[in-house]
Amino acid sequence: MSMISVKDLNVSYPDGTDAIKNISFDLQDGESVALVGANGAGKSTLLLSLVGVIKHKNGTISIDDLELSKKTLNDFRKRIGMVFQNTDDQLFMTSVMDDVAFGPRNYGIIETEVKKIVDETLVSLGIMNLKYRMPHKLSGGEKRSVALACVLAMKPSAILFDEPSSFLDPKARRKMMNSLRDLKCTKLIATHDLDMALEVCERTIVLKNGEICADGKTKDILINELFMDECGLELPLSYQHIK
Amino acid sequence: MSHILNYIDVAHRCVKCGDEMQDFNSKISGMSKIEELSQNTTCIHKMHPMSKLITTLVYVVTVISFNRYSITALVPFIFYPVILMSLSETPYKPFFKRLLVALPFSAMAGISNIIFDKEILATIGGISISAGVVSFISIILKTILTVFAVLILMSTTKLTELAFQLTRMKIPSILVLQLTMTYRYISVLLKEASTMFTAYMIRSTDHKGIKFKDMGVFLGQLILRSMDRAERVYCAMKCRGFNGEYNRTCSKRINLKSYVYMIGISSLIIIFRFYNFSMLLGSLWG
Repeated sequence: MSMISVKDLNVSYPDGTDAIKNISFDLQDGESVALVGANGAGKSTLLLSLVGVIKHKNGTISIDDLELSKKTLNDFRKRIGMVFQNTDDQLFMTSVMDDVAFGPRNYGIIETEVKKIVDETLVSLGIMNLKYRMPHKLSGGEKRSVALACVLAMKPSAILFDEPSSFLDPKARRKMMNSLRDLKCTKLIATHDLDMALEVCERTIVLKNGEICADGKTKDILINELFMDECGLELPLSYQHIK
Repeated sequence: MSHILNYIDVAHRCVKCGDEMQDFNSKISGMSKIEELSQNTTCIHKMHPMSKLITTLVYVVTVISFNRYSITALVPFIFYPVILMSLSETPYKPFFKRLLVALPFSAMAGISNIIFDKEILATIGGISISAGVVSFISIILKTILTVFAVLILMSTTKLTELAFQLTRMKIPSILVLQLTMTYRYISVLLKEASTMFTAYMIRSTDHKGIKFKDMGVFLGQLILRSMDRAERVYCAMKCRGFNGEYNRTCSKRINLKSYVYMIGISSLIIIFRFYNFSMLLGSLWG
């Protein structure tokens, strides 16, 4: 059964510019998919429209047969979580504990259960030591882990990641990649980090000027130098060395 | 030689620029000091937020209710902030810094009393004390006490807890949301200002702060950037089910200690309101 289904999606900016043009794809249960493309290709816009933050002009977005509409928006966002590119946009409470509890509380989960969820989530990511820390005082890697915890606490079926490896040092990036690999849920990862895409995602969707120009096995797409060049991209660094 | 002097001049400017940026950034980080203090775990921090909120309300209303010539009756009220700050291990310095912001407003209001209310109330050592001076001191004292009481509440209680208790007190959720969002976005605005200031100072030639001619552009850009940032924060909140109010399905109950704290201190405050203990003590000695 298809988990996330996007059909003939069109999104326009307020000035009328088409950002996403007739996009269709399906994400299967537990699948890890990389979304790559040059700057301005429409990756972030696509992710934001998948969680209903940016309204789509026409087309349908559904998860497990629940179609995104004004009525289903709350339920939809409970099923699809999103980790933003800049963690400072996502972390706004006074403590890590409150930030992780923010989502579950909004969905009316009782306080004792919320505390349990917070502890479980922090333990699963190995960041229990950060529980009482102030989010804005954390390092980049710690912030990224907390941002992921905030989304995981809502127990979504699918998670969208916008540049999860940006602003991270090599060790924090490696830790983030391990966390991504360990996640069992469906993942759509918008990224410029093609080496990460190679390691984490079995499938890749390439966007160019708001349209899908390739959708297939990550390795097949990312090592095709000519095609990558046409899409305004380069080979992953690991392949550049081999070359 | 002129090259060396040039390098020294550039190095001097960089140090100066760095100092100014550090000063600005330290001021910004100082803004979150009160919020950081609320994370402590002293006996006052552990009291139920509702008991602290009600006690503070009783204190503030009582202090304000004294007439404009009351000074001696206000003296016992000084013990409230002093004792609470000591028990909650709160430093005085950040409080005094914030008090300095509020004091000029009260001082301006009080000065008019000195000018217009010239009736002589007492003479001490040959110096006549007018009613205006007494009311001026009373206004300043009331400001210090009430500002300190509110700051103590904020430094011992998390903002989210306070917001939740306000909604429990049937304060309209739209007002509570305005309060919390304003408080939250101040830090967003300041962060943007800090980044822009740093970028400006690095490229500035004289390092004497923002030039007047650039101020309009700087403020305009600051508003646009902070609006953009606020929009992104709001999107992130919406993605996690935010529907316009902070939700807490169930809060911890007020325990016995918190009841004793609330009733005990509120009772003392009310007693001090109706009996002038300073005068009573004075008459005992007199």
